[in-house]
Amino acid sequence: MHSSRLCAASGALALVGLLLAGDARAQANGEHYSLRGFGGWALGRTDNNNMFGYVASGDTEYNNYDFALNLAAQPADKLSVRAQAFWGEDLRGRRIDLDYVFAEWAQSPKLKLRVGKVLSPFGLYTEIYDVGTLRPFYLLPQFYSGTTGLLPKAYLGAGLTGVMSLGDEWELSYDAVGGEVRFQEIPAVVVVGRDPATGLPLTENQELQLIGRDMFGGRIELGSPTHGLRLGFSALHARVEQSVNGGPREPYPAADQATLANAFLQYERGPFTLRSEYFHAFADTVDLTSGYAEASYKLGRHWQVAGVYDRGRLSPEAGTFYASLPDQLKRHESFGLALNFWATPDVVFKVNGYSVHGNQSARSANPGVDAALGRLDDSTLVLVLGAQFSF
Amino acid sequence: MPILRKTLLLLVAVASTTLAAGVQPAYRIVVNPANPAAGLPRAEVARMFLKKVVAWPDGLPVTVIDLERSSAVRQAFSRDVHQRDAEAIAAHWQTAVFSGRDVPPPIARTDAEVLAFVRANPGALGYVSATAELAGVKALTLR
Repeated sequence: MHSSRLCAASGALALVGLLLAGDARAQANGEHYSLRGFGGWALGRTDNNNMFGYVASGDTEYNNYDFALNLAAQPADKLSVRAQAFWGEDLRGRRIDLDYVFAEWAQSPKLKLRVGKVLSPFGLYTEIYDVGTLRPFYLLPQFYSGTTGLLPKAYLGAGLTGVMSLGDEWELSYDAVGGEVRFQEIPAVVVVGRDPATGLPLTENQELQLIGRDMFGGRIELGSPTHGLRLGFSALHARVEQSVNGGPREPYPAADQATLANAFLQYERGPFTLRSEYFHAFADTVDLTSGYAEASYKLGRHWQVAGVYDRGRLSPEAGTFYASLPDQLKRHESFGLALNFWATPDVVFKVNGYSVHGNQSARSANPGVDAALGRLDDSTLVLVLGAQFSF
Repeated sequence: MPILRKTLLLLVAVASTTLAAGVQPAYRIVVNPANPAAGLPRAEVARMFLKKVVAWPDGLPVTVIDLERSSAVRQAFSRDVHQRDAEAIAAHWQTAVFSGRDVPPPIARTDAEVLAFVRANPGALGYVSATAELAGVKALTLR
């Protein structure tokens, strides 16, 4: 699996190299392709043994970086091809992947058909997951990037998308998609038995890949570019399977079917931006709710201050595995503050701090055991210093 | 008294001239002379520059060209036509690019590059500074 990803990324690189050998400014010269990219690096540290956001732990973590190259080509009037290759490393390990590669047939702005691996049209951030110059915090809210890993970046399949004008100031955009989704890989700690001497649970670290088969869903959004307002809803429904440590697909014990629903609001006016989202994941034996509000203000051309409040809750059905987890592993609440310096509109240096309560997202390497022994810190302070850029 | 009246009249005249100069747009919207359009609503021009309207009424594809983000003319155009600052529009295009939804219009560095592009493309739509010489293109009225 890793080698196939490597091949895919290498293929994209070769394609990009060929284009670079031509003229990266070709789009400006009236031709039909463009080459863009983004990246970042961060230092992360927590004040205890907990990890947070896969970039911070009790040891100062320097090994957080990512870079992506984005290619758009238009071989014919109504046909375009888009691809984005991603390289990155954090506490989950090294990741090399194609974020997306798809072909789009644009009948008109009201109706476009996309086929391939396409970014999921879900909420505000899924389509710009790693682009740090489009948000005030280095990390995304925990529902996107936390240990629950519940938002799939992309789907494999086909989708219809479009935008329709509603008078001078307003427009309606919409997406309908179908196919299969791969959720973020989750490093899961699984209880494999009990120590006969102490009676304590024995655990094993596993890489859990959740897969949503026969997925269908969409997003509908009312927006006013003039007023800087976006509000809407998105939802996905799928049959859930799992693959443990890259092994074969098998039923996921916690859920046969799952539905993700989301409502979002964004308001941008001058130096002020407000974003807020609410998520609800419905599965057979467990529900998860989460929401955040994020506000930022730019002071002149360079400085920006921001704050975020983020909250989540896991609600399992009685008698299930998740119900047996200690309460502190089922909740998350955090306050974050940011002070950013925008050297240019495309390069930003970020100082982000969080105060986290609960261990749904901030957790040790063996949270189940640590919680059972009463040594899992419920409160975690996090510092993230980073730089992000795009071009 | 007559001196006071003349002074007041002079002051009013100077103020009126200054105000009139203040509302003069810093840019002019230009199209190819073959384009039959004489004027367009502001919102329609904004949608064309955001690639949400992609054809003229006669079916000819709209091909827009922008100025660089740092250009004072682009700032003025963006505030008037998009009613957002140029940074907000740049963020819109960043979102469109990285989500794989669209790419921004080509960027010209100078008025001369915009004018050359508009002269060469029948469906072209651009804007230049108010002082640019409009040889071989047609100015479009914003309604």
